[in-house]
Amino acid sequence: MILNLKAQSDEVIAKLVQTGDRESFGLLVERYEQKMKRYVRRFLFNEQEDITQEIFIKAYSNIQSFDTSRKFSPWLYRIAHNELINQIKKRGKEQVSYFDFDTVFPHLKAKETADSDILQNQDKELIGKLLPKLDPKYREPLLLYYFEDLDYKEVAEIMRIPVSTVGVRIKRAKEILKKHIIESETKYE
Amino acid sequence: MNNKEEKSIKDQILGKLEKGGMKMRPKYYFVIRTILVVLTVVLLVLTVLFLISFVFFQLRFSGLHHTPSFGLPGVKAFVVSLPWVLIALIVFLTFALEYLLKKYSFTYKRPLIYSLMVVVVVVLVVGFVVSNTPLHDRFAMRAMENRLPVAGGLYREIEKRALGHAQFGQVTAVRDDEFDLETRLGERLTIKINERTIFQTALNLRVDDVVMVIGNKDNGTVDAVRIQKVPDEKFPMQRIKGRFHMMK
Repeated sequence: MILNLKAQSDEVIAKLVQTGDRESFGLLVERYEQKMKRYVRRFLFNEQEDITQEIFIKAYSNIQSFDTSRKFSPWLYRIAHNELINQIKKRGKEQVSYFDFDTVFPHLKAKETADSDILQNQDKELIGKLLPKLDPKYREPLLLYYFEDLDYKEVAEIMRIPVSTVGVRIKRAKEILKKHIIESETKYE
Repeated sequence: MNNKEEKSIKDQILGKLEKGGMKMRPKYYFVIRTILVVLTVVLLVLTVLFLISFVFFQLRFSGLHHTPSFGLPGVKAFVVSLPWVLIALIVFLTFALEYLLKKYSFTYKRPLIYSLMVVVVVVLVVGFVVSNTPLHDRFAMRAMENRLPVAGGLYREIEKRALGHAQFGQVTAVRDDEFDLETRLGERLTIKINERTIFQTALNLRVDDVVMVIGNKDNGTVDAVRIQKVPDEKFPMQRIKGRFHMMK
């Protein structure tokens, strides 16, 4: 039975949890624990097990609101997003704006060029170290896209912003990081 | 190390589940919450539509929508006499509506300006259409008879509302350099014409003509700065006025 379950999709398992199979929730925790830990660590700059736990507790508590015809991972990341934004607000060290003008007006699709995409050539560890240099609104789409391997559409769904805004924020994040990478390279030369 | 931690989080979650330390919200909780949000959205839409159509009705009722054709003084009278508190309330409620709609994918998937424009255009168009139905006429009648709870005050307020320096009404008597005017509210005024008075249209005033006058009002007398005849069909509130008179 467990072997069978392990072969099932997240959505099928989530449906089982909804119908009362509480044990199956452990399988979802197992699948997403590392991803959630990584997301928490990169977004808040430290690994806090209690926050990761809280994300799963909230996911369990709200699982009846999950539409099993849709993908499970963006739904879970959305819960994690809310929890992490709350944590940032609680800490009060960083500004989280309730309203952003870049979600108001349409944007042209951000152009990707070999020259501008400096991140492709850098290792993730260096980029990870530079993430604190970014505002949460730029940091989050970048880490969801580059580190969690989600696509623009999924990032937009998680952050509840237009897809074009995701593109613009990632482009700006890359520009900021590019500046820091060039600065650090100049220092060592 | 990782495996140990992995087990630990999963085990802790399962442990909590076992002990009943984690509660799953029932499906009906989310259904009720969705229904409440939808009801709030519907209520907000209806309130905004009612208020915006009421503003259009008020402009028509008071004749204020004619004032901009009086040039700069008319535009000034128009701006001063607009129901700004009501307009501010409409703007606030529209933003509240937009905030609620932002939770739904059809709104947040596109730049906010699109949904905001749709909300504003729909509200203005439907509000204008509603203002031209007999709805507000009926409500106004009920308000005058004190048979309209909650919104009754809004309609009675129109009666009291001063229109800045603009007066609308029907000519009841014409003399050499003045004429008498009965306003929509039943007020009787004497309009003084002097060398400064500008006639927007060929005057040739007769009894029963409907006119708009701009000028300072003092103790039942208005020193007219501008006078314009208003075609009967552009002054539809005569009908309402007639009804009020009949009621009295």
